Amino acid sequence: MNTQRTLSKRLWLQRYLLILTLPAVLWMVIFNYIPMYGVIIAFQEYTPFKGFIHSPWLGFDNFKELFADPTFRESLTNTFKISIAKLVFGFPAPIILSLLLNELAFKRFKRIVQSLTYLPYFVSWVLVVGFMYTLLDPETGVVSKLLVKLGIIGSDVMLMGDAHSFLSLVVITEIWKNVGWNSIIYLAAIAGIDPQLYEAAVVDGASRFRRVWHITLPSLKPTIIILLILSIGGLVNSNFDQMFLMQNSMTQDAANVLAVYSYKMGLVSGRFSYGTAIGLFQSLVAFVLMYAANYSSRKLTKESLF
Amino acid sequence: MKGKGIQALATAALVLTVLAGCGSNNNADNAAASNNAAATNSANSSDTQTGPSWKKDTSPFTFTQYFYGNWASSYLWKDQYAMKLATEKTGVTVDRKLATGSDDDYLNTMIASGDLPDTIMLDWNNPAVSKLIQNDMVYSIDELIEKYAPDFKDQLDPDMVNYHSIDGKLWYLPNLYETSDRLKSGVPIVAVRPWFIRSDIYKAIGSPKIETTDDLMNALKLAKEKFPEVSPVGVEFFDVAKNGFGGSNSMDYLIDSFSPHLLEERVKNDQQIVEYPMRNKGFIDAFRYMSQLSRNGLFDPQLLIYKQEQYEEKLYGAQYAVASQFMNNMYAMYNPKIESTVGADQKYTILGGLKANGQDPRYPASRLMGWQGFFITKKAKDPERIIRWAEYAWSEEGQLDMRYGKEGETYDMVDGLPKYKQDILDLSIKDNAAFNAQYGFNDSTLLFRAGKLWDDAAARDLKESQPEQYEASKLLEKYNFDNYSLGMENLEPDGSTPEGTINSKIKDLWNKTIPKLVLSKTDEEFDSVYNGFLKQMDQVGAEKVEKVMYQRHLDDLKKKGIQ
Repeated sequence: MNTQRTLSKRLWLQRYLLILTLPAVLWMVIFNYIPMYGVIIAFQEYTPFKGFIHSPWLGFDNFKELFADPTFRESLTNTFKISIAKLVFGFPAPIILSLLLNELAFKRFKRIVQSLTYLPYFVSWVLVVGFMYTLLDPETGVVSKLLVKLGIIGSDVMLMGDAHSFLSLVVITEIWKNVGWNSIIYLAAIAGIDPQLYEAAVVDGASRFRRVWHITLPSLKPTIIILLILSIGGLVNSNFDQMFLMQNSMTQDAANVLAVYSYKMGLVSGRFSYGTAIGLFQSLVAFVLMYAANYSSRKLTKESLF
Repeated sequence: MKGKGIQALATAALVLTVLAGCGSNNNADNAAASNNAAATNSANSSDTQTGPSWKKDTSPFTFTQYFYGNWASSYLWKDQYAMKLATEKTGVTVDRKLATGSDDDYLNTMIASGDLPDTIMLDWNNPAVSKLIQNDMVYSIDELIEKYAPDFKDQLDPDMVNYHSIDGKLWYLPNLYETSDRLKSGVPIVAVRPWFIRSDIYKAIGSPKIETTDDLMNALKLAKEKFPEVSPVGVEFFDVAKNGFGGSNSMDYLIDSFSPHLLEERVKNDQQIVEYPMRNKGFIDAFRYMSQLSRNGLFDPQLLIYKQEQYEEKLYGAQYAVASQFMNNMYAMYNPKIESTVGADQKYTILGGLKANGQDPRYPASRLMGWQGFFITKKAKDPERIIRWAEYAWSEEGQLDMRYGKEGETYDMVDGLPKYKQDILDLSIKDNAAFNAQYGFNDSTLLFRAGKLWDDAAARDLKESQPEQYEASKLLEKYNFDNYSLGMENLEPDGSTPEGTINSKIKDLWNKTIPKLVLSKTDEEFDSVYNGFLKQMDQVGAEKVEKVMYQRHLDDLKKKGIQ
């Protein structure tokens, strides 16, 4: 009785906040929860005419085929390889960028750099990959020529068609595109640090580097951990647009990630159930990973999402 | 950390729903309902008027249509002359739609969700056709004809009905089903994607004879010496899934030189299989030739990963010494553009057929067994009006309306053949885009049917108004042979069968093997890549597919009445 009253009282107190959240919640329900019943086709031999309810059930047959399918295993390996590389190199990048930006004394310059670094975020992958084909053309590409002059690659290397360079290209372009945007959240967190801490440190004679190490970074810790947990959850979701656009007959093995494979099976070949099974597997792994990351973070650092 | 609860929930939801299905309504019920509606309609319209069925009701009516081919923006019904004419006569407007991205994605999404338009124009040999039929998503054309347009039946070529029937029923009306007359009348059949050479370069290297594959190699070497900034060879994009086993459409020109009897050689009656072409020596030699081009620095490896648009952009700039392109596009689009932007001397001229190893090439040419099927889906609001409209489109009148318009207004009969008025004819050559936008001839109903009248007219027009293209076509035509009786149409297994899955794996394997073959540095490397591919292909079960292809080969012969 007592708890109920406090609950309704709390709801009443937060009524405006709740109303504000409502559209987002509705959006989630309509576009994410309601379509979720569609995953049952992963356990069926789905035929559109019979629909979700009447299609024959297969149990786990699709999943059995999945685990026996060498292309699926290859795509799983690729997914983790690419995502881990992105995490290792891509995750610290915005933190470093925001620390560097924060130390800039000349505010106007800082603002210009900040704008320039987050602009690529708004360029679609289609265009980015188009640029890459042009810039990395072994005969006419500016970047290719530069790399040859610097002795980094041989003169006949076709970067866009080279399975060995694929991973590096993926990671570099991903960082180029997203580093500025991702640094915004860190910059915001830095702006929220109490300036008195810095003043006190200056009085104590701390160097710039010391201030970053002992004040900025520890204050960023909760933000970093939350974003890290989310990134770990996203390990199995490599960027579909990027992979799909960057793959061609010479890089198709390296670019075959779960999302692309699921698309190929489900939509291109029309094996709806099999494609869904791949997608469902991917989601489950993502969920487990995120949960595990959250759990260990809570135990180790007392910071967590939930 | 309580505020994070919703965020967490949101994240979980997001990751869980990566590939949740699209909304589907219960198709069975809907189809049944529309069936009933159709039946009631027919009961009501038991009139006894004579004449074609479409004249019974010419009230305004619009049906939707999905056209498989996202390139076909000129087929959209706007206010073009031919479209208006068809609407004027029948009251029918076609609301034609194209896919916004990939056609296969669009089509499969449509099928998966059951959200179909009234009608579909789809290549008759597309793997999705059997899905449409098996899932009971389309009406049988015979039944609709019997119910609503009984006279239409007599208009259909019995051979066509026989060839295209599946399980004894006709499920679609195929356009461009040609009769055996087609080999004798009409514009010359160009059976391969021809190769061309840039005129000024050809002159600069002394106009050598290019009659064999070795001649071509030497000419390219000379061209590279004299024009180091020009890329020697240009071919269309490679993608086995889209273009078949040749990889690029341009490869057929070489394949048919190196392996003139490829189709016959693929059939192994003793083993009851139809081999994959990749097992054929001549077929592989065509790729070996590409590899030699590449080793001599005559082939830009970027072409292996280019998209068609990237290639075409360079072709518009005449940046290749030798280039391959669809015959009509070269003469109607590229050459005019090259003439107006980079200069008339840089236009491309045709190369004849190439001999390889002392043998003449042979181009498998046949009458077309059809291009697209016209499907009426169970979602159609009024199948009665649609089938009657099809009767109109199929008739002599409908054909002439679509192709030539109104006599005296847009065309005249000259020596018994229709001919556009001079200004329209001029426009069609000078500014094809404007011609399409204004008149929309050959773009409206799209139910092209075989007929000597328009075949002969087309041949005359090509000869008179585009002599260069006509001559080029004639030059290649002499290597054509009629492959109709070989029974090699539509051989690949249905995508939804186990063999279909194997087949798509093999295509995937072959797709990534092609660049490795072409880029191999030595013959030994080439052979080891090739043998590795053969081994992998056998491992995934190529033989099972080859057996199915043999059965389909027998079926094709049977349907054509040959065996």
